Amino acid sequence: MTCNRMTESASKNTSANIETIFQLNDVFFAYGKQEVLHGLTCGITRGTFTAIVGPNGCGKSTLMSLLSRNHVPAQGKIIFMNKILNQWPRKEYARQVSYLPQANEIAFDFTVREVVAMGRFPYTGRFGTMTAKDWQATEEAIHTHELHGMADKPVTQLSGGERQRVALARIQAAETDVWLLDEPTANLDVHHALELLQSLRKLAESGKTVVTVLHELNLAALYAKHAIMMQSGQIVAHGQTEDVFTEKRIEDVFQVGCRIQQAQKNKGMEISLFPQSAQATPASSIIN
Amino acid sequence: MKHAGRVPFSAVVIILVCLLAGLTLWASSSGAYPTSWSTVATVVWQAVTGSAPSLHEFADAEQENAAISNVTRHVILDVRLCRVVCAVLAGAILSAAGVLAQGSLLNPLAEPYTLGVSAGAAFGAAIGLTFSTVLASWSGLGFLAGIPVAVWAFGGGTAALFAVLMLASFNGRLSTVNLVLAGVIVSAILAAGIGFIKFLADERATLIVFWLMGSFANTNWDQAVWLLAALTGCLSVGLWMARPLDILALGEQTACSLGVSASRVRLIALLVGSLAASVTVAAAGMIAFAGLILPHVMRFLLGPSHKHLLIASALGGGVLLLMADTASRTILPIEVPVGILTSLIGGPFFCIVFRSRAMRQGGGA
Repeated sequence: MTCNRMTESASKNTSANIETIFQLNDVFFAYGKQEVLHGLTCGITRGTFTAIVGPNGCGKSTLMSLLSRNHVPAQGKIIFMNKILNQWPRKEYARQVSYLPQANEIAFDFTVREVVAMGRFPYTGRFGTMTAKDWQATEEAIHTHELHGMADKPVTQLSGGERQRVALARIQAAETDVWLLDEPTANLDVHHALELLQSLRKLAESGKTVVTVLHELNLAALYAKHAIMMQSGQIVAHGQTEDVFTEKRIEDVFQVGCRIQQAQKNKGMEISLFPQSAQATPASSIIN
Repeated sequence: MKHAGRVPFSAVVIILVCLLAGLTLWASSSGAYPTSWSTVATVVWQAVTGSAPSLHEFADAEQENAAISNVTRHVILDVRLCRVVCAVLAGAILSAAGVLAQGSLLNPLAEPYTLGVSAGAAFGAAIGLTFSTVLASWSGLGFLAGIPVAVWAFGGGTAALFAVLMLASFNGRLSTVNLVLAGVIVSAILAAGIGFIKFLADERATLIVFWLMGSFANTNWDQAVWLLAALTGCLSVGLWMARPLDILALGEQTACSLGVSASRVRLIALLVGSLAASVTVAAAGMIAFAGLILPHVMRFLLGPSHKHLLIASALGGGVLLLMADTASRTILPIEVPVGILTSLIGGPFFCIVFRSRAMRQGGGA
């Protein structure tokens, strides 16, 4: 209900040059007999930074795996750029959409440079022969993510955070228009997490579409212009982040107490969360 | 691109090719009927160039050349060289198939027999060896008696492989854990079946036992041709799959997002590797661990790129199995089945790899 109202109001405001890059129509999905997504309908606009938020097990990652074509909807349709998702040839789709899954283990001792270079696979032929342009994109990505010092090290020797940066560099090397990131800030320290979100916002401003699952509501509010809030396999709200993130909705969905204050400088918002049982006590005493 | 701690691929290939050539000469000259290296080289050269001296040439040939009798020629070409070629080809197949198994199951402890091929082939061979006479006495099934044991073995291996693939696939997906578990289950059932046949077979049990141990003593040039075909198939499909197998190391989900279907790559690589391995089982019985060692050594030396791994492991596998086979027939006074020798070398190797891997990952494999 909320979702429909929001998308309608959003579509009224849109001018003709904004196009919907992903359109989900009544999407259902089940792992075996256990249904995890119950009728998702929403659109994701080109050139936006969208955060998907929701409690554990609400189906965020499943939604990402549908968008990345790791799973196929049991019912309903996902349309990517006016064409049904599964009608896109695999490699062509891989040239447009890249994906960072939550699991980030690499099985063998490939070096950092080799892993980043694998991001170029959709452009290379069957045998993965790299051209000068492919190597250039690889080296640039290594440089952006400050990995040049460890480029020849096996990825299996890196820490979780370093591996995460290698995966992000691989995605950058792929030069796709759409980035799907499942908890990209997991394993990252504050410095790298903020830097990443900053660069994702810049990417979106430059016309790329970024869709991320984020656990930190504050970070989502600070960096993502759009948000999709999910609860037990359904979309609760979808639209501009400041419209989606309301105290009442966050309290209901996440089972916490919540106070939202408008921050002064960057007109984002500050979200204070506390255990629901403590709701009776004044919020200010908990924050301070 | 340079990588610290890795050996250049070309250097490894050159060393292995030289090693293989030298070992071939050594293996063809040593044995119960002693011949010199130069005799072997001459005989092989003449066979390759088709210039075996006819009778009148014999008169002008050098002393040494003339001394090569037809018996020597027969021993070298049809007995030893044939065996050498079969051992090299089988070693190359098992190691290349090992690379495919480890790469597609993302597990460095996998080998071509992981999916139950060896147990299936052994079961097929056991049936072939034991019941061929029994089956012959049944009027309708008489034709089955004429089928050679190798065909029984290959059929058994293939059937077991398909049973494992069917057992492991859910919704068209093949996960590594399901594949390994299904392989274990099917192998265990077949092992019990083999035990039952051995129990029923009485004096024929010796035949089965000997066959299970693996040996190149009874190989012939026909089998060499089959092995060559299997190696060609395994290597060409393997190289075709090499880059997708690299990508698969990033995990199934990432591979999918890069346009690589994990289940498809896994199915093709495992199917080809296992079928090729079951050709070797059909030709020479079960040779354990040969497919495990070389992929490891080569990954340690060259890094994990599957293109390099396939070529280098195939060469190295040929060298290793030729060494093992020649040792098995020359060092001890009686000939030991080569499968026992590879198990004696490979078993401890497996333990070392398993321990060092578990250690690196903090206790859990």
